[in-house]
Amino acid sequence: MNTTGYILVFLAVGILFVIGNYFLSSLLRPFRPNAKKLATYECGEEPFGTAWVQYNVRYYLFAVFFVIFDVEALFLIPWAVVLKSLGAFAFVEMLIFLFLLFIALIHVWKKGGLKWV
Amino acid sequence: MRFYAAADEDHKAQKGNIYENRIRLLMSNSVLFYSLAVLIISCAFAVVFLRNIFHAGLFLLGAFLGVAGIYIALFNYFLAAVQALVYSGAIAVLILFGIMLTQRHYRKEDPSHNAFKWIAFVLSFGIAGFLVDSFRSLKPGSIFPVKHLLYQMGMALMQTYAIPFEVISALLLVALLGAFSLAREKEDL
Repeated sequence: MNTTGYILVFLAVGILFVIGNYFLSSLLRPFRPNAKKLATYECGEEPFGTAWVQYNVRYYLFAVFFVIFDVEALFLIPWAVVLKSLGAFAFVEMLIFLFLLFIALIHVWKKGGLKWV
Repeated sequence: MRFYAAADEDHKAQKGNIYENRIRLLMSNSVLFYSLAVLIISCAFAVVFLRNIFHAGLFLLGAFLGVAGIYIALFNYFLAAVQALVYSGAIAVLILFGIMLTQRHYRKEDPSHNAFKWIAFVLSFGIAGFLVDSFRSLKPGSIFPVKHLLYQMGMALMQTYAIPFEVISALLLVALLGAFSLAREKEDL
Protein backbone atom coordinates (compact mmCIF):
# COMPACT_ATOMS: atom_id res chain seq x y z
CA MET A 1 0.00 0.00 0.00
CA ASN A 2 1.40 3.40 -0.94
CA THR A 3 0.96 6.82 0.66
CA THR A 4 -1.96 7.82 -1.54
CA GLY A 5 -3.67 4.55 -0.75
CA TYR A 6 -3.33 5.25 2.96
CA ILE A 7 -4.76 8.74 2.48
CA LEU A 8 -7.72 7.30 0.56
CA VAL A 9 -8.36 4.71 3.27
CA PHE A 10 -8.18 7.38 5.99
CA LEU A 11 -10.55 9.61 4.01
CA ALA A 12 -13.06 6.83 3.41
CA VAL A 13 -12.95 5.49 6.99
CA GLY A 14 -13.23 9.03 8.40
CA ILE A 15 -16.30 9.87 6.31
CA LEU A 16 -17.96 6.49 6.86
CA PHE A 17 -17.31 6.69 10.62
CA VAL A 18 -19.20 9.97 10.91
CA ILE A 19 -22.08 8.90 8.65
CA GLY A 20 -22.30 5.50 10.36
CA ASN A 21 -22.41 7.03 13.83
CA TYR A 22 -25.15 9.47 12.82
CA PHE A 23 -27.15 6.57 11.41
CA LEU A 24 -26.58 4.37 14.47
CA SER A 25 -27.55 7.09 16.92
CA SER A 26 -30.69 7.86 14.90
CA LEU A 27 -31.71 4.22 15.38
CA LEU A 28 -31.05 4.21 19.12
CA ARG A 29 -32.10 7.62 20.39
CA PRO A 30 -35.64 8.61 21.37
CA PHE A 31 -37.14 11.43 19.31
CA ARG A 32 -39.58 13.63 21.26
CA PRO A 33 -38.88 17.27 20.40
CA ASN A 34 -40.59 20.25 21.99
CA ALA A 35 -40.13 23.99 21.72
CA LYS A 36 -37.82 24.21 24.76
CA LYS A 37 -35.57 21.41 23.51
CA LEU A 38 -35.23 22.95 20.07
CA ALA A 39 -34.17 26.33 21.46
CA THR A 40 -30.61 27.40 20.62
CA TYR A 41 -29.55 27.32 24.28
CA GLU A 42 -31.81 24.88 26.05
CA CYS A 43 -31.05 26.20 29.52
CA GLY A 44 -29.32 29.53 29.15
CA GLU A 45 -29.60 32.89 27.45
CA GLU A 46 -32.73 33.62 25.46
CA PRO A 47 -31.39 34.46 22.00
CA PHE A 48 -32.82 37.52 20.23
CA GLY A 49 -32.38 38.84 16.70
CA THR A 50 -30.25 37.02 14.15
CA ALA A 51 -26.65 35.93 14.39
CA TRP A 52 -25.92 38.24 11.46
CA VAL A 53 -24.94 41.36 13.31
CA GLN A 54 -22.44 43.72 11.75
CA TYR A 55 -19.00 42.81 13.08
CA ASN A 56 -16.54 45.32 14.38
CA VAL A 57 -13.92 46.29 11.82
CA ARG A 58 -11.19 45.28 14.29
CA TYR A 59 -11.87 41.59 13.65
CA TYR A 60 -11.06 42.17 9.99
CA LEU A 61 -7.91 44.07 10.86
CA PHE A 62 -6.65 41.30 13.10
CA ALA A 63 -7.49 38.69 10.46
CA VAL A 64 -5.38 40.67 7.95
CA PHE A 65 -2.51 40.86 10.45
CA PHE A 66 -2.79 37.11 10.94
CA VAL A 67 -2.68 36.39 7.18
CA ILE A 68 0.37 38.59 6.69
CA PHE A 69 2.45 37.19 9.53
CA ASP A 70 1.29 33.67 8.69
CA VAL A 71 2.71 34.09 5.17
CA GLU A 72 5.88 35.59 6.61
CA ALA A 73 6.38 32.61 8.94
CA LEU A 74 5.77 30.13 6.11
CA PHE A 75 8.53 31.66 3.99
CA LEU A 76 10.92 30.99 6.87
CA ILE A 77 10.57 27.21 6.40
CA PRO A 78 12.12 26.77 2.90
CA TRP A 79 14.65 29.44 3.86
CA ALA A 80 15.69 27.52 6.98
CA VAL A 81 16.18 24.36 4.90
CA VAL A 82 18.66 26.02 2.52
CA LEU A 83 20.30 28.45 4.95
CA LYS A 84 23.28 26.18 5.68
CA SER A 85 24.19 25.69 2.02
CA LEU A 86 23.70 29.30 0.95
CA GLY A 87 25.17 30.96 4.04
CA ALA A 88 25.40 34.73 4.42
CA PHE A 89 23.60 35.53 1.16
CA ALA A 90 20.36 33.83 2.21
CA PHE A 91 20.71 35.29 5.69
CA VAL A 92 20.89 38.86 4.36
CA GLU A 93 17.99 38.17 1.99
CA MET A 94 15.81 37.08 4.86
CA LEU A 95 16.94 40.03 6.97
CA ILE A 96 15.71 42.42 4.25
CA PHE A 97 12.46 40.47 4.00
CA LEU A 98 11.86 40.59 7.73
CA PHE A 99 13.03 44.22 8.06
CA LEU A 100 10.36 45.51 5.66
CA LEU A 101 7.61 43.75 7.60
CA PHE A 102 9.16 44.82 10.88
CA ILE A 103 8.85 48.49 9.83
CA ALA A 104 5.16 47.94 9.07
CA LEU A 105 4.65 46.24 12.41
CA ILE A 106 6.38 49.07 14.31
CA HIS A 107 4.27 51.65 12.44
CA VAL A 108 1.00 49.86 13.25
CA TRP A 109 2.10 49.29 16.84
CA LYS A 110 3.02 52.98 17.34
CA LYS A 111 -0.34 54.08 15.94
CA GLY A 112 -2.10 51.83 18.44
CA GLY A 113 -3.38 49.34 15.87
CA LEU A 114 -2.51 46.33 18.02
CA LYS A 115 -4.67 47.47 20.93
CA TRP A 116 -8.08 45.90 21.37
CA VAL A 117 -9.98 48.94 22.60
CA MET B 1 23.90 -21.36 -15.48
CA ARG B 2 21.00 -22.19 -13.29
CA PHE B 3 22.21 -19.60 -10.81
CA TYR B 4 22.23 -16.90 -13.49
CA ALA B 5 18.79 -17.88 -14.66
CA ALA B 6 17.51 -17.61 -11.11
CA ALA B 7 19.15 -14.22 -10.68
CA ASP B 8 17.68 -13.05 -13.95
CA GLU B 9 14.28 -14.30 -12.87
CA ASP B 10 14.70 -12.50 -9.58
CA HIS B 11 15.68 -9.31 -11.36
CA LYS B 12 12.66 -9.59 -13.64
CA ALA B 13 10.40 -10.11 -10.64
CA GLN B 14 11.84 -7.05 -8.93
CA LYS B 15 11.42 -4.94 -12.04
CA GLY B 16 7.86 -6.16 -12.38
CA ASN B 17 7.28 -5.27 -8.77
CA ILE B 18 8.45 -1.69 -9.23
CA TYR B 19 6.29 -1.41 -12.31
CA GLU B 20 3.30 -2.82 -10.44
CA ASN B 21 3.91 -0.43 -7.57
CA ARG B 22 3.94 2.51 -9.95
CA ILE B 23 0.73 1.35 -11.60
CA ARG B 24 -0.89 0.98 -8.18
CA LEU B 25 0.34 4.45 -7.21
CA LEU B 26 -1.04 5.93 -10.42
CA MET B 27 -4.39 4.27 -9.91
CA SER B 28 -4.90 5.23 -6.29
CA ASN B 29 -3.58 8.68 -7.14
CA SER B 30 -6.11 9.16 -9.91
CA VAL B 31 -8.92 7.96 -7.63
CA LEU B 32 -7.77 10.56 -5.10
CA PHE B 33 -7.43 13.20 -7.83
CA TYR B 34 -10.88 12.67 -9.33
CA SER B 35 -12.65 12.55 -5.97
CA LEU B 36 -10.89 15.78 -4.99
CA ALA B 37 -11.76 17.32 -8.36
CA VAL B 38 -15.45 16.50 -7.82
CA LEU B 39 -15.24 18.05 -4.34
CA ILE B 40 -13.50 21.22 -5.57
CA ILE B 41 -15.75 21.76 -8.58
CA SER B 42 -18.98 21.14 -6.67
CA CYS B 43 -17.82 23.51 -3.90
CA ALA B 44 -16.91 26.12 -6.54
CA PHE B 45 -20.37 25.81 -8.14
CA ALA B 46 -21.92 26.22 -4.70
CA VAL B 47 -19.86 29.39 -4.18
CA VAL B 48 -21.15 30.87 -7.43
CA PHE B 49 -24.78 29.80 -7.26
CA LEU B 50 -25.73 29.91 -3.57
CA ARG B 51 -27.99 32.81 -2.67
CA ASN B 52 -26.64 33.17 0.85
CA ILE B 53 -23.24 34.84 0.58
CA PHE B 54 -22.12 33.53 3.98
CA HIS B 55 -22.79 29.95 2.88
CA ALA B 56 -20.89 30.70 -0.35
CA GLY B 57 -17.92 31.73 1.82
CA LEU B 58 -18.10 28.44 3.73
CA PHE B 59 -18.10 26.44 0.49
CA LEU B 60 -15.06 28.42 -0.62
CA LEU B 61 -13.34 26.96 2.46
CA GLY B 62 -14.25 23.48 1.18
CA ALA B 63 -12.74 24.26 -2.23
CA PHE B 64 -9.53 25.48 -0.55
CA LEU B 65 -9.28 22.25 1.45
CA GLY B 66 -9.78 20.25 -1.74
CA VAL B 67 -6.86 22.06 -3.35
CA ALA B 68 -4.75 21.16 -0.29
CA GLY B 69 -5.70 17.55 -1.00
CA ILE B 70 -4.49 17.94 -4.61
CA TYR B 71 -1.10 19.04 -3.28
CA ILE B 72 -1.00 15.90 -1.12
CA ALA B 73 -1.79 13.82 -4.23
CA LEU B 74 1.21 15.51 -5.87
CA PHE B 75 3.39 14.65 -2.83
CA ASN B 76 4.05 18.30 -2.06
CA TYR B 77 3.26 18.17 1.64
CA PHE B 78 4.71 21.60 2.32
CA LEU B 79 2.39 23.30 -0.16
CA ALA B 80 -0.51 21.26 1.23
CA ALA B 81 0.25 22.58 4.71
CA VAL B 82 0.60 26.13 3.32
CA GLN B 83 -2.71 25.81 1.50
CA ALA B 84 -4.48 24.50 4.60
CA LEU B 85 -2.91 27.11 6.89
CA VAL B 86 -3.05 30.23 4.73
CA TYR B 87 -6.08 29.68 2.51
CA SER B 88 -8.35 27.55 4.70
CA GLY B 89 -7.10 28.94 7.98
CA ALA B 90 -6.58 32.61 7.26
CA ILE B 91 -8.02 33.75 3.90
CA ALA B 92 -11.37 31.98 4.40
CA VAL B 93 -11.69 33.51 7.88
CA LEU B 94 -10.77 36.89 6.40
CA ILE B 95 -13.50 36.54 3.77
CA LEU B 96 -16.08 35.50 6.37
CA PHE B 97 -15.12 38.46 8.58
CA GLY B 98 -15.39 40.67 5.51
CA ILE B 99 -18.92 39.40 4.86
CA MET B 100 -19.87 39.96 8.51
CA LEU B 101 -18.51 43.51 8.25
CA THR B 102 -20.74 44.56 5.37
CA GLN B 103 -23.97 46.46 5.81
CA ARG B 104 -27.08 44.36 6.21
CA HIS B 105 -28.79 45.58 3.05
CA TYR B 106 -25.94 44.34 0.88
CA ARG B 107 -26.16 40.82 2.23
CA LYS B 108 -29.57 39.72 1.05
CA GLU B 109 -28.68 40.27 -2.57
CA ASP B 110 -27.98 37.27 -4.72
CA PRO B 111 -24.24 37.39 -5.46
CA SER B 112 -24.57 35.65 -8.82
CA HIS B 113 -27.27 37.96 -10.23
CA ASN B 114 -26.23 41.55 -10.03
CA ALA B 115 -25.16 44.43 -12.25
CA PHE B 116 -21.62 43.09 -12.61
CA LYS B 117 -22.79 39.76 -14.05
CA TRP B 118 -21.52 40.35 -17.58
CA ILE B 119 -18.26 41.94 -16.50
CA ALA B 120 -17.66 38.94 -14.23
CA PHE B 121 -18.51 36.57 -17.08
CA VAL B 122 -15.98 38.17 -19.45
CA LEU B 123 -13.32 38.42 -16.73
CA SER B 124 -13.63 34.81 -15.61
CA PHE B 125 -13.49 33.57 -19.20
CA GLY B 126 -10.38 35.66 -19.74
CA ILE B 127 -8.75 34.17 -16.64
CA ALA B 128 -9.79 30.65 -17.68
CA GLY B 129 -8.26 31.20 -21.14
CA PHE B 130 -5.07 32.49 -19.61
CA LEU B 131 -4.85 29.44 -17.29
CA VAL B 132 -5.50 26.93 -20.08
CA ASP B 133 -2.88 28.67 -22.20
CA SER B 134 -0.28 28.51 -19.45
CA PHE B 135 -1.06 24.85 -18.77
CA ARG B 136 -0.51 24.03 -22.42
CA SER B 137 3.04 25.33 -22.30
CA LEU B 138 3.84 23.02 -19.37
CA LYS B 139 5.59 19.75 -20.05
CA PRO B 140 3.78 16.71 -18.69
CA GLY B 141 5.70 16.03 -15.48
CA SER B 142 5.99 13.01 -13.30
CA ILE B 143 3.49 12.49 -10.52
CA PHE B 144 6.08 10.54 -8.57
CA PRO B 145 7.64 12.19 -5.54
CA VAL B 146 10.54 14.58 -6.14
CA LYS B 147 13.56 14.13 -3.88
CA HIS B 148 14.38 16.99 -1.49
CA LEU B 149 11.45 19.02 -2.71
CA LEU B 150 11.53 21.59 0.07
CA TYR B 151 15.28 22.07 -0.41
CA GLN B 152 14.77 22.69 -4.13
CA MET B 153 11.94 25.10 -3.42
CA GLY B 154 14.12 26.98 -0.94
CA MET B 155 16.98 27.16 -3.43
CA ALA B 156 14.69 28.48 -6.16
CA LEU B 157 13.19 31.03 -3.77
CA MET B 158 16.55 32.27 -2.50
CA GLN B 159 18.50 32.25 -5.78
CA THR B 160 16.42 32.22 -8.98
CA TYR B 161 13.55 34.22 -7.50
CA ALA B 162 15.47 36.35 -5.01
CA ILE B 163 14.02 39.65 -6.27
CA PRO B 164 10.37 38.45 -6.39
CA PHE B 165 10.93 37.10 -2.87
CA GLU B 166 11.83 40.59 -1.62
CA VAL B 167 8.93 42.05 -3.59
CA ILE B 168 6.59 39.72 -1.66
CA SER B 169 7.79 41.40 1.51
CA ALA B 170 6.97 44.83 0.06
CA LEU B 171 3.57 43.52 -1.05
CA LEU B 172 2.82 42.25 2.45
CA LEU B 173 3.91 45.62 3.86
CA VAL B 174 1.51 47.45 1.52
CA ALA B 175 -1.32 45.05 2.43
CA LEU B 176 -0.70 45.54 6.15
CA LEU B 177 -0.55 49.33 6.01
CA GLY B 178 -3.43 49.54 3.53
CA ALA B 179 -5.74 47.43 5.69
CA PHE B 180 -4.70 49.40 8.74
CA SER B 181 -5.35 52.82 7.22
CA LEU B 182 -8.69 51.66 5.74
CA ALA B 183 -9.88 50.32 9.08
CA ARG B 184 -8.65 53.44 10.87
CA GLU B 185 -10.69 55.68 8.61
CA LYS B 186 -13.77 53.83 9.70
CA GLU B 187 -13.24 54.13 13.39
CA ASP B 188 -10.40 56.38 14.48
CA LEU B 189 -8.10 53.95 16.27
